[in-house]
Amino acid sequence: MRIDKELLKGSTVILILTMLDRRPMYGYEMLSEIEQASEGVFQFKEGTLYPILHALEANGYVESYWERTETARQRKYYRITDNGRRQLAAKRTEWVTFRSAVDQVIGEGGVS
Amino acid sequence: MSKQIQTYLDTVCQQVKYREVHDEIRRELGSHLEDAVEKYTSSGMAEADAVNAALTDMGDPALVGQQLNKTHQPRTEWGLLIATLLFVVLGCWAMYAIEVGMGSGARPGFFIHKLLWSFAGLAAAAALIFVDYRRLRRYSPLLYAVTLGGAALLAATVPSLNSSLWGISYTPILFAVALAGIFTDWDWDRPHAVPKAMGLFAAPLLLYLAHPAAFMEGLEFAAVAAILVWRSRPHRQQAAAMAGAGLTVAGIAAFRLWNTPHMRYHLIGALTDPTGEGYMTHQSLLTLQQAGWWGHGLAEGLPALPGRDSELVFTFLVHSLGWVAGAAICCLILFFLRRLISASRTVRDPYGASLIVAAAAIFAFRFAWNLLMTVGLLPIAGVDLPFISYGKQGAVQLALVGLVLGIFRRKEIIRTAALPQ
Repeated sequence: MRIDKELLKGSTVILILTMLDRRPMYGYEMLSEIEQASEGVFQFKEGTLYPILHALEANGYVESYWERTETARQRKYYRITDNGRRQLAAKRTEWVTFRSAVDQVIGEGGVS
Repeated sequence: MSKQIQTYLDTVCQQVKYREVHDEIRRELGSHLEDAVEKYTSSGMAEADAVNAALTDMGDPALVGQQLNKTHQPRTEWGLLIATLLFVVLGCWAMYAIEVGMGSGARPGFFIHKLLWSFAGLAAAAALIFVDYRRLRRYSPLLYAVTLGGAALLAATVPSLNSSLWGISYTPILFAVALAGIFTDWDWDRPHAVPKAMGLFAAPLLLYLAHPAAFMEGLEFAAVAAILVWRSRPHRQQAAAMAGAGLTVAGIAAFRLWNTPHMRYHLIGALTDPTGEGYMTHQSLLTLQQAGWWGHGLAEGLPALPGRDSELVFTFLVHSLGWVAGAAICCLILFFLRRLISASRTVRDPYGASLIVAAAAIFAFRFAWNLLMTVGLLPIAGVDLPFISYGKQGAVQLALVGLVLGIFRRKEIIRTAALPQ
């Protein structure tokens, strides 16, 4: 199932920070993992990931460094900062509140 | 890399105004596209189709570029800027009030002098905001050497005890800027890293301590230099060795100071003797106590308070505006220092961050010493309140803020991660 774009927008930051909380990753790697973990539900235009990553870095939630991999391809890795972990915790709380509120409302409609 | 991918990257970068980030964006998106093409070809797709598929996945290049452009814009540290302007306004207002209060006995052009030097400082700051600070870096050793030579010359030409050393009070700022450059990326693994660092630290310090009139500059320099050395991440044993050496020297210096009869009298008297050495401190405390919540207004020039335009300008402000305003000024100072420290953390370029830390250390030292001496907790020792006190120092301090604002301005428009070859 494809997800509505607007719905996706609000959750990309939390997705990215969650990925980076596990280990440092480069953009392509992050997208593959997100796609796999969501079983293909989360597919968005890949280019839009980078403006988000750059903005996260400007806010101090992630930091980047270049590394040459075994295939000799240069990759820009991102890792989460302490500030980013705090932001992730806040976003998670926000998400849980939002999700349970939505569940409560649509639950009454008998979607089971 | 295929022509199509190049065109794609060109279109992205066309949207990003600041060219300096182009190279990094090209490399990052380029390596992503290479990965994507590889994935498609390895599943059996022809090269040309794979490129097309990868580019389709990537999405509209102009849109990606526009979104990137939003992040890579010049930034303004409004908090720092506004706080600094408020300091300048306060300083000019205080000088005006003092001149009016003195009536016909006023020095001609007293207020105008402050106003002109404030404008000169603001002009210098504005210029520095638009100059790329990274050009300064390679002049760091030169700046260090010239400052050291200049300070030595000053100390040599003014040898007499207690005569004031014109110009020496500018040197800690210059040393701070120089050492910020020198200790960024200081390699602690090379041979003799510790003796070299200690030498850079000790040479100005010895010069300051050799001259009694430069004692406060020595203290200020030591504080700033220690922070910059510590920030350059020496190994643990190295840090311990240097701290040990530093504390030993500080101990010997304190012992010598204490055993100089004149100095001991000066130090004890400054804090305890209300009619002699501590006269200014006593007057300051008395004036502060009489200020009341809302102050006495502009009309009184406070002729009885010595140093009301320089070292005790805070006392003067509190007397005129009251305790509430005094607390507000203290809050503004804390806010200013906090913004400096958080700016040093958000700037990723190590040299830029070091410069901001150096500036923060200089301002913290001066604000803290001035306020503590104003309320009688430290001896009155010629440390003016930055931006506010009378004199040309304020112009140099404004220039330093300009440098910081210029660093902050570029934090998202310069390449910061070292690119691989």
